[in-house]
Amino acid sequence: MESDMAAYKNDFLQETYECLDVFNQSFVDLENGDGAAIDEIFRITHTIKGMAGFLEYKSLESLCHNMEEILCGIKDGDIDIDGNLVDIMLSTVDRITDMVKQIENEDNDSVEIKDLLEAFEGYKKTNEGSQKILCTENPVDYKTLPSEITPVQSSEDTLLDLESKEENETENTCSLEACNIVLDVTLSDDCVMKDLRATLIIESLKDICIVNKTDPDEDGMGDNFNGHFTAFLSGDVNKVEELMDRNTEIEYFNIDFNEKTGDTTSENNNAIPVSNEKTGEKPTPAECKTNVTIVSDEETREVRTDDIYGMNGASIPPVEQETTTISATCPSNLCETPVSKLLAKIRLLLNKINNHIKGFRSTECGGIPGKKGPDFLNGERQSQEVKLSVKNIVDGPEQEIQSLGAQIPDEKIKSDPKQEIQSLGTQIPDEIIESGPEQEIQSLESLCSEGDAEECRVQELQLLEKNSGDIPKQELQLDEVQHIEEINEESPGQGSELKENPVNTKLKIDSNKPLSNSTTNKLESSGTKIQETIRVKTSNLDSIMNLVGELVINKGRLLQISQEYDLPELDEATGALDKSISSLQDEVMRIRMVKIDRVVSKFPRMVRDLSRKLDKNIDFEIEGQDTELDKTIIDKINDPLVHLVRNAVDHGIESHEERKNAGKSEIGHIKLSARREKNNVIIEIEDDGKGLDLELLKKKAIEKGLFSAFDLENFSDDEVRMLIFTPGFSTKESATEISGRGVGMDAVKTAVANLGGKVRIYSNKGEYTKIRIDLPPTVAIIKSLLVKVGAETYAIPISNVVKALSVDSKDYKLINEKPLIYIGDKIIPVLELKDIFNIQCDKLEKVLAIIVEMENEEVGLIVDSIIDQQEIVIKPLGQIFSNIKGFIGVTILGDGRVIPILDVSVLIRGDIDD
Amino acid sequence: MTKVLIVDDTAFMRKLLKNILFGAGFDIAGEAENGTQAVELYKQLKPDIVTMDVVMPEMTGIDALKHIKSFDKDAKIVMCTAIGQEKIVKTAIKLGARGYIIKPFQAPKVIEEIKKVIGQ
Repeated sequence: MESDMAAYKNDFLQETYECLDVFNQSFVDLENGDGAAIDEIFRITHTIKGMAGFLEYKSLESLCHNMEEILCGIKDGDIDIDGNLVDIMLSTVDRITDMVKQIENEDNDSVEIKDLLEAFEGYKKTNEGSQKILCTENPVDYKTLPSEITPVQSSEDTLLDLESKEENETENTCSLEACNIVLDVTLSDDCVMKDLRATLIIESLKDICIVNKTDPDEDGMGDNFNGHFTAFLSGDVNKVEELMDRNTEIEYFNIDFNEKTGDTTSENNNAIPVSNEKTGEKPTPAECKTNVTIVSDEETREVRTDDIYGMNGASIPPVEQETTTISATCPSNLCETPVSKLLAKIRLLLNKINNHIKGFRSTECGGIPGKKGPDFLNGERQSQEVKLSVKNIVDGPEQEIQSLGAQIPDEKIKSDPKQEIQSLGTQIPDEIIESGPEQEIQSLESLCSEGDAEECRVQELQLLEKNSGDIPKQELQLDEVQHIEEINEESPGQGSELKENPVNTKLKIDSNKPLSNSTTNKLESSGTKIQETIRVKTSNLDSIMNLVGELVINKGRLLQISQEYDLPELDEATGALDKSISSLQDEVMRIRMVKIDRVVSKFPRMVRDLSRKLDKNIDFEIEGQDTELDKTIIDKINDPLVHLVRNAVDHGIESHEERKNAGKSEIGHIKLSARREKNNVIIEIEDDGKGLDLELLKKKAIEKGLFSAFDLENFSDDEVRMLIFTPGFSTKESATEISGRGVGMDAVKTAVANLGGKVRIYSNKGEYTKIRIDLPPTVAIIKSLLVKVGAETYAIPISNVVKALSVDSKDYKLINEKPLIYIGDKIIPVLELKDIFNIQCDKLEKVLAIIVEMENEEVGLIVDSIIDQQEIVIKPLGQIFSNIKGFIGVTILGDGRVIPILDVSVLIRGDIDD
Repeated sequence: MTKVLIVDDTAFMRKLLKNILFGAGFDIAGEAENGTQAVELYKQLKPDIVTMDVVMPEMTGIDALKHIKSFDKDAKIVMCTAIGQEKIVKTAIKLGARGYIIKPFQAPKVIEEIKKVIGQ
């Protein structure tokens, strides 16, 4: 149970987070005048409430419940929606988000919600009225709806029902004098929503007798309904009692039976045989219970015991005598005479007795009505058979067969589902299989058990074809033929024989069954029934990814061996292996792809909140939310994007006046777009705001002491723009609460760089700012260059490598004691990996400079030689090595060696630990 | 074995009900996420009983109930309800719903109600 709850909790978290995303979007839609959004918001609130209720997160449940009530008020038009209310509801959404996070981390929902509840209360008070009432729907009589399908059963039974129903309706208004039964019902205390239960009981009473009046009447049963009602009925007292017995929520019930209006009774007595036929149950003597007068506890119990045996099938003589007693006690116009105190007392006593008996009876028959026993068991056994015979066939067909079996509305099937399941081929009714095919069936079954479903089905069809020869009259409907064709397509080669003339294969399974319909539906049905998506834990995906990584490593090892020993066969085998591993890798990568929508869908809400706060009018547009990225990247790109969008709203878009003065439209425009470009995913955030002021940027840079005026003179415009990504740089005079202390842009750049991406900025003063992020779509497996330094091997991500040059160590120029080399007209600093990693070995005359690039900076890494270019799997360094800088992780080579992967950004910045 | 069609827009609730009912020996004929699917699946699967959520996208539980009742007036439909939905569920009962189960679901109560409705 513990683990069950944990699983439910996980489901809850997953589903709630999805809900919260939709929430935010819906609220923005709502403010933009989309009326349907309120339904969606209501639905989500309700969904979260339901889940919270089950997992017993009380404050979350109560918060959702209160919001739900407000939403109802809005839907019903009792509450007017305004900006303030939307704000309150949005804070509620935030609070719910907080709670869910709390639940995720600490497994409790203790978040303060009083303020919100009070705010809601305020809205409710101003709109006192039909608060509790949800969406009211006008009851529509289903008889008036167009019937698309005629009722499956149109036996006399249902006709009778219909008639009696109509009778009910016409006689409902007639005077109470017609009633012969007064039914008193008290619902048990633990029955929840008593008014519903009462309505349900009254509705089911209407099916078996005429309900003349109830007290309180059905509409009068509201929230304060105490669970006690009286119904004035005319009809068969036995049926009423039977119905009452079945309702376990009834604490006490009492039936006052008045024989004087005997006409109805006798009429209904005539009807008794019908009911008996239906249930197969002997009539129970209602008289036992109506034994009102001076009967001692013990005696009653005795009689009731007999009654119980009667219910179990043994007949007992009806106790006519006592019936008369009752008619003497109860005067005729019973419904109108006020019920005397005495009668009430007796009723109470009786009910108590009745209650005792109920307890007794439940021990007697174990709570299950005897008549159902055998049927039920039988049903279970049959279905087990079904499962057995179906088990042999593999997944796909199983579904189809099951749905086929489930669909055919025929009594025959109910009686033997196994027959139906195999009706496609094997055990078709005797009329088709005359003799002999049993062997074939066996061979078929054995085939099935071997798990070759396709082959099995082709065999089935062949069998069908064979049988059809015996019965030329019966022909297969076109649908069936189509189905065969489809199967043929699914199993090319095996079914070619059939495919040649499928239409000529005329056969029919059973001419009487409406199979054609169900077969047509079959494919569709399996379409709807089979879920298109499944939920998989990310950790599972990660471990698959890991395994694929291992495969890639082993593949590398095999390739190495085959090269070493020059074995053509091995070469071939590894080649094939290489191909399948590559496709497997692609496939797993694809599974890990997540739409960027997951991140950006909450942005409209964010922009809305910010612009409200800053009093700006902003139109936010998202393009390409279907663009996919690896889940790891999606998770990590969230914060940078949030920051960039906030910046665009806060710093990018000008205030109303500024825009007006600049001759721009008052509505600012921000656009976030994502697209795939070759091997990269490009995300752009563009605003039509004030743009970057290069002079201001330079001034700031000097003020902050980041660069000297002399340095800046040599900066290109692009380089000046990139200044905003420098740590500790902020141009805004005062940092606002929304964004801007100068740490953000730096963090954005680092985060993107860590994902192997690049940030670029384009801007024109007074016109626009555009920030472009290039990201690799996946991270776990990368191409890398393996290099040798002394005895060590390192991997350099190929995305960072610009080129490799052979250089002479004499070519180094020393400026400020730092080595540099000339490449063309560029001066590039060089880094000796030997020095950085303290590798003890001889310095070579001729070395290689691997020019790596990161964020427009280039550095030459000096290595001894290049080994190979290879796909490698990045393995994180883990907690223990987390403070080691200079590596993004390690990889394992084919020969089992662990090789560090260089973190180029750290090397370029030079902040590696000594 | 009794075939149940579970209708709820929340995967969580469907799973919960499925576990409860499967554990009690019922056969889960299918699951629907909204009213439209429910009506479609009802026609195809002919379940013995339906558990019907009220608040769903596309088509609500009440509308689905009306539709199903329009072609199978004997359909056994049990409404899933929560505090605050009494009124609408009452409407459902008057339209022919045979029972109701209350969220948060309690397994014994759910099973009891389903068995009771099946027994009718």
